[in-house]
Amino acid sequence: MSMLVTALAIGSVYALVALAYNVIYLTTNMFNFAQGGVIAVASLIAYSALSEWGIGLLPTLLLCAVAGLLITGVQYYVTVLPVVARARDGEIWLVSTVGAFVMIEAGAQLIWGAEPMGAQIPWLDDLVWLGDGSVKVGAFVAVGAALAATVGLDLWYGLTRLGKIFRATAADEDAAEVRGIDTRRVAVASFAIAGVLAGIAGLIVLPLTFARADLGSLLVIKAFVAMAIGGFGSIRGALIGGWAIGLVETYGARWAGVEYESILVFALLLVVLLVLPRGIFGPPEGRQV
Amino acid sequence: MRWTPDPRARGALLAACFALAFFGPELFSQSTVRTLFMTVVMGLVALGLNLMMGYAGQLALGHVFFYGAAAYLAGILAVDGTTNLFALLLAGVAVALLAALLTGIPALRMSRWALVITSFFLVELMPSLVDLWPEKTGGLAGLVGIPRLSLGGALDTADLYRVAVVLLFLWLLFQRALVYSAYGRIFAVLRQDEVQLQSLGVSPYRLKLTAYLISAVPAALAGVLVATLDGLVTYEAFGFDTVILVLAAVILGGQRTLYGPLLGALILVYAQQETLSLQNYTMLGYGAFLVLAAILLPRGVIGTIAERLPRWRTPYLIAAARADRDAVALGPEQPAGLTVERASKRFGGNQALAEVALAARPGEITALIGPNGSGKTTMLNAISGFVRLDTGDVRLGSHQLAGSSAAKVARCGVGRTFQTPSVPGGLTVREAVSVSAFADRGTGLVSTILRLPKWRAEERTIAARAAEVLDELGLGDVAHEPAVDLPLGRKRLLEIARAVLTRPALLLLDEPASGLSPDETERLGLLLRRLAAEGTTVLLVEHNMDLVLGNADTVFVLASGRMIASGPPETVSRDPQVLAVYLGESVPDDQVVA
Repeated sequence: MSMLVTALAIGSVYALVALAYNVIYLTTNMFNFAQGGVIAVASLIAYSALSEWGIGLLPTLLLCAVAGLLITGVQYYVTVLPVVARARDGEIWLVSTVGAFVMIEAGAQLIWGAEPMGAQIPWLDDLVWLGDGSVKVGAFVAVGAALAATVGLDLWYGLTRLGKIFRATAADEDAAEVRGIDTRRVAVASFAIAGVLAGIAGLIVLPLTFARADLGSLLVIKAFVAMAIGGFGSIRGALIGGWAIGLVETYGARWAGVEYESILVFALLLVVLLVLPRGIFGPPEGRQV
Repeated sequence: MRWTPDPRARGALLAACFALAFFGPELFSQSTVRTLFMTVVMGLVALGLNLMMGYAGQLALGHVFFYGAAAYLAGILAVDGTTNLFALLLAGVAVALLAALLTGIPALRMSRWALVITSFFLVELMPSLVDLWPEKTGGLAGLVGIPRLSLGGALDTADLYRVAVVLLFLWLLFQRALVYSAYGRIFAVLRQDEVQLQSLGVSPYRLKLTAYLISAVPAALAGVLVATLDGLVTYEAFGFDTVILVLAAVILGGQRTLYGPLLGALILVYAQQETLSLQNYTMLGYGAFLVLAAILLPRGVIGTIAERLPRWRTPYLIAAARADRDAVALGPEQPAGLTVERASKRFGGNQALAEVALAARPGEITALIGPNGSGKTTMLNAISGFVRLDTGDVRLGSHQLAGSSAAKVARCGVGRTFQTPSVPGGLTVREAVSVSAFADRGTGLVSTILRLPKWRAEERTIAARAAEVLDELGLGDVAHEPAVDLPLGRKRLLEIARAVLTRPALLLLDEPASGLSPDETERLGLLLRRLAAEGTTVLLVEHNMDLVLGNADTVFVLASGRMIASGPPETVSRDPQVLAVYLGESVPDDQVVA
């Protein structure tokens, strides 16, 4: 039981990161690589706020969300918009967002250093006994947060007028533009939502791992795999994908040995994509001709 | 005034660069030679990535993994006593090809981003794989004590560097020959439109796999070279940072340029070595550099220069000699008739085709007309293999087409156009027309790379045929313009020219006249008649009744998936059922579709 909760908690972290990527991918068809760096910075801010300044959990949460929003916003206007405005094709944004990622990570290392740091976190670090082992409250919070974010976003995209505008932009940017949708504002809003998500994820990660400047590099690939398994642009797919990775990693490491952890995740990815090339909740194959 | 340098100046410039690089050990300091060595190594990996990402248009990032796999294998073999350079290069290439094959077979069937992620994950797997055989690979600590390579005698650092420069030179010759040939032209279609590619008789999957395998080779060469530089191989040299460096080198230098990735590698390797002492600020500056490069030079250094120097553009198809132009035939070598029997297709609740029969004879123009949604395009797609019929039979001469893939149908002698023309970027009109010659080219990779007379003869034939077809369709005056700049109507003519080029026995045209001027429509009619006269079976789906009634020998009329009439145009155009479908229920007897 405790192992299952741990596995789902790790999976939920991947899911939260994948959600942050998905929100941007959904409306712009881009992967904002820098998102991983934002999460790392948010977790370092959370570490400082809790362990050094001692400002309590809720103010820290707020601080992280605002920090995520601001960093992502600046990153959008400085490294994404000028590139997209000039050349939409050729995936040039890949280089500029990777560049932003490298910059954010290097900046974080200049401020906080390269060493992983464990934070003392009120409430989230408390242990809960589950019969066969104990689990941190933070693990339950991670699962709850991922679930809440998934359900919330899924409902929002599916039911609200604004959400539908976002999806229309995702389906066909030119058509949306013709219909009077300001697609740039949709992109800005998507980056903003993703920034807040990444900020919150930074705090939620903290009880489960260390605060470290290179956290983003460690999370980004798993988040991409979660997206691929769930289907790119699918909100609930990100959660399912994240959980699937968490389960395979945790149970796989126990049964096969920790050195097989990544290989098993890779196998999972291959199997899912060979059976369902567009992921579990990916869009159906469109008409070709 | 615009500077228009002589194309020969480019050759001189390149020769000077290579001479400078080759005599590096005599000319430069040791640290500069090291930078150059790493440039060659990273440049080779980037050249491979550019072939896949730039030319074939597939974002597969496995090259750093191939690079690492070859480095580890070369290191392990050298420690075990095999130090012969050629043996290690062969082994490195073999392991890279194996890895590309094993990972490419599943991954290249996937969607674009799934391919990115699986190939990227491969790089992440490197430490795990290394750790599985620590006794051989040295585990996470790294493989140490790799002896120097030998070629006759032991190679010192300067020798190794020279070997690297020569290998790079040879690879550039190879890649140049590959890109400026039928392969480079068909890659342009692959990046643009996979459906189109299939209609030209080429399987996108096999073409991608071919490109992936070829692109793994330079990465493997780089791996073998780097393994012996310091006598040390660690997994950290083949990680995320290297992927970024190589990716950035390609984009900074210029995707789809021959030398761009090399220049990008030089800039980035130099920048890294120079700023190494600045520690953390290195990465900050590196990141800022990537952002700036993406904003200021989206086409890369070489790409931006090439844009300004059109005279330096290398053509993808050689010029046709005037004398070649006489003997060009457009009709098929073996004419064949089309027979469709009892064709049925259901999409969900919609019966798109119901027991439809159709026959088109060689030497005739057969038209298929009907209201929108009557099943005409489904019929064309069923014949050309893009839609699988639920039941029914499609034959072209002795070939059974039903059940075959679109690419296979095309290779049986079926050419087609689409309602929405798609034209590959980066090619001139003449080059874009010639892409269809890829599927039944008679020369293999070896003749192409070595530029054998056989290759040259075939390219000249293709060039001559392209010129003839373009003249016939009134596109001769724009033959050397970029194909993407054509207006819609002329793009449509280009698609027809492309389909006609291969002399298909059956030519399927999906609304070829829409978007054409009356003048162009008339020319199209003349071309179709000439094709029919030369034995082509022409099947035309069209709304332009002038074109249909003026040229068709037989007209078939579809309505709601059923064939309601067929016969010569004058009979069909008076058929009351046809008039009812086209004009509504109450039609005066003397009304004629016109």
